[in-house]
Amino acid sequence: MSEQALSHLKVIELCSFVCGPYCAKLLADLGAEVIKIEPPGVGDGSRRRGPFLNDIPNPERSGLFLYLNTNKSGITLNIKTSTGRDILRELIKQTDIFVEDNPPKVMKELGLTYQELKKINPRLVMTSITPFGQTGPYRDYKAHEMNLYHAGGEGYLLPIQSPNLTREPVKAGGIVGDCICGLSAAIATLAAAYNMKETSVGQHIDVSKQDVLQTMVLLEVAMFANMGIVRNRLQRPLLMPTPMRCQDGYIMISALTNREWQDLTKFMGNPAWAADEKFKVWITRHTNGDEINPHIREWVKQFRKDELFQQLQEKALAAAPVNTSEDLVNSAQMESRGFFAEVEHPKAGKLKYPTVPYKFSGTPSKMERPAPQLGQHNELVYCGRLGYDKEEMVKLKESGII
Amino acid sequence: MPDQALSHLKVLELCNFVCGPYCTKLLSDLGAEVIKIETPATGDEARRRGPFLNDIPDSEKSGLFLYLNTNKLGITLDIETSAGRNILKELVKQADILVEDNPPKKMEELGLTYADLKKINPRLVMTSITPFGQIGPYRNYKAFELNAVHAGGEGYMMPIESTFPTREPVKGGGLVGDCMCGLSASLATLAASYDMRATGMGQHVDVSKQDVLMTMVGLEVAMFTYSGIVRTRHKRKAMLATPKECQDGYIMMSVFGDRDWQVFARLIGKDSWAEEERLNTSMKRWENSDEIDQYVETWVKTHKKHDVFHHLQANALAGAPVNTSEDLVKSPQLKSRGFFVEIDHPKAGKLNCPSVSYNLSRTPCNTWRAAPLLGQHNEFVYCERLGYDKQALVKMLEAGVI
Repeated sequence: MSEQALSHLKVIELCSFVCGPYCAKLLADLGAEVIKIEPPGVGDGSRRRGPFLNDIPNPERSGLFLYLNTNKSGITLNIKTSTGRDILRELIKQTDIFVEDNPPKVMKELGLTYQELKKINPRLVMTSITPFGQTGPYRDYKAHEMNLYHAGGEGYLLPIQSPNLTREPVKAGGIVGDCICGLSAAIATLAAAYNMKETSVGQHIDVSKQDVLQTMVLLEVAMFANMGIVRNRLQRPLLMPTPMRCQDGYIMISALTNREWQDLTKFMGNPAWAADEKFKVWITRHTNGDEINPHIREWVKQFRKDELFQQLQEKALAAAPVNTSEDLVNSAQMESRGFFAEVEHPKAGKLKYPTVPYKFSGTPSKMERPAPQLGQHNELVYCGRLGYDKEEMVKLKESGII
Repeated sequence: MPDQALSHLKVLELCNFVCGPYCTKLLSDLGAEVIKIETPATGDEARRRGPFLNDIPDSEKSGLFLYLNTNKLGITLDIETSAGRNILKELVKQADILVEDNPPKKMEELGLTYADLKKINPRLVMTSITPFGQIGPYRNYKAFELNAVHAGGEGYMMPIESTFPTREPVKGGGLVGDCMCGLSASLATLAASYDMRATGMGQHVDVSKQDVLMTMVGLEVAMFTYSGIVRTRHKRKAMLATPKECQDGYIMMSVFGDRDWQVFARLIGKDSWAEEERLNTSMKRWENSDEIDQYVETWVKTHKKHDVFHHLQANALAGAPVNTSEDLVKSPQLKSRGFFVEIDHPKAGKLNCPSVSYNLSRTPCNTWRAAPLLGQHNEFVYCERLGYDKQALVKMLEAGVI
């Protein structure tokens, strides 16, 4: 059996909720050994967030936690105690990567800065994920995904195509902001890990979530920086800028080139209105989008979304249905790609999980393990890795350290 | 000066527009040598997209192209000719990574599949980014960012907190969908490179944009698989769910937990709320969220967004202003982090560019080269790397191969 791409990488995660755990999950799903450290008793905050199976709250059955922590080992450790910190340092000696999401001042107070940790492990890649980064006036400021999404500038553009600006900005659905930040942190971490493999020297990576979210609206930011234009969410005249309603949902159609526009109108039966001179060129098709869109909206109504999707694709026109989560789970394309994997969890039972969005020909990713139960791998790590005996473990447990 | 994290990685890019170029930009900004291959004469599609400096279209002055192609070398090559494909294969022999975004059937027709290329370079990591992936019934389907975002399930959630369920779904602002896909592709590519360094063997990485966008709404997808609930964009009862309008813009505040609630109530001049029993749990506050939101809306109207932001933070409450691109460019936090860098471009002049969202302590991303002019590095790559003499270069140019 082939190994996975990151099978030889050892990672310690000291993070909670979505962003840091997602960063470490991306590495775990690629084969890295991730040991997740949770506070004894309570565990990761996401254990107390829904959705819960059958709506019955249970820290071992939070859908959010189960999804974000697949393929990891889990231990408990109280880093507020000095014994806890000593144990953390022992773990850090044995690891390649340490991902953490604490405010810089907390890490400083605990004596767990990169400066201190590199003394005990010069190969260590330490990734710190914080709302505004390790430097600057906002370094210890507090912000959750919904705040940062707006701080990053993406929210101001949403909802796009708003009829007027009195509609307040919103953020994107789900916890997408934190996922993007986790992804960026994972890239920086892997780049540093790659470099560490070459040079045997680690380093500190300072990831600012605001910076990440800002690089996602790059164009708008660059536009102001260089041209003084502030983009907002106000409707602009465009050809088919938003999804259109079919019989059973929505479809998003694009016709960017002249060839595509001609093929689309031909498919529509060359209606008389489409012959208008001003619709012949790309630029005036957009400026006159308000005139065109109602016609297409009317035409789309006769189809079911998947039927229209297939027909447009047969004509090499770009389109996609607006999929709901139900559509995705039942999609033939997803099934064919094996995107969902079923994993058995001792408390939550057999569940279907989304896997990774990339397929590796040589080292395929595997869904090997469900999220750990709180402290599930304490014995494996403390006894197996650090050499404590079972009596010592019981003592650590009694004193609330693990 | 220390090397950058990926200084020893050699990347070939055969991509257009946003997603693939963003994937390799992430690598080139981390120090990898990226050779971008463009079609002779026309070049990357992004060159013809705005914003253009002073609104004058010029293929060397597209803001989109300039941003997405920093730190790369640029050459021209027509891979539709057999001479062009032979040159591409010579380049592939010298590369560690090839990133491409063509439909699978096109790569098959051109004899440039991974199976073909690994014969000439077994260490090659080849990353293919397509709308629906390399396998499955939709493998050759066409979709742009607009379509893929809706296919991935994120659009159905947006705009969140919609008062009217009849409002059509929209996607995120900017080109955020393509950026996320580029990020994911970059992560997978790095993981495969790390493995290549360990094993000496490359592999094919198949990235499906739909899959990427779906993992971003992983929770909603998981929710359906757990409980059969299809989340939508409809308004749900919640406290402070959307940004509130201040004198000069919007602020997004979050108040979680009883401590935060008591501090917040006093901060907005509602001391009584801090004590009231009917509001002393998050459940009760949720039930009374209409009343709370109404008061907060009136209160913030008399304040400026940055004043509220700093006031919240001084009390350890989570919040952030809804920043416009102007706010971001002028932000003291970003200035202090050196987020914007000035890059000189021979045609477009001095540009203020967003840099990277992570700081690496030992191998900082500190060299910035502007996007290449079309074919700017032809001589360097063809003569110095592949050993063609200048006469051969002229011939290839005349034959339209480069």
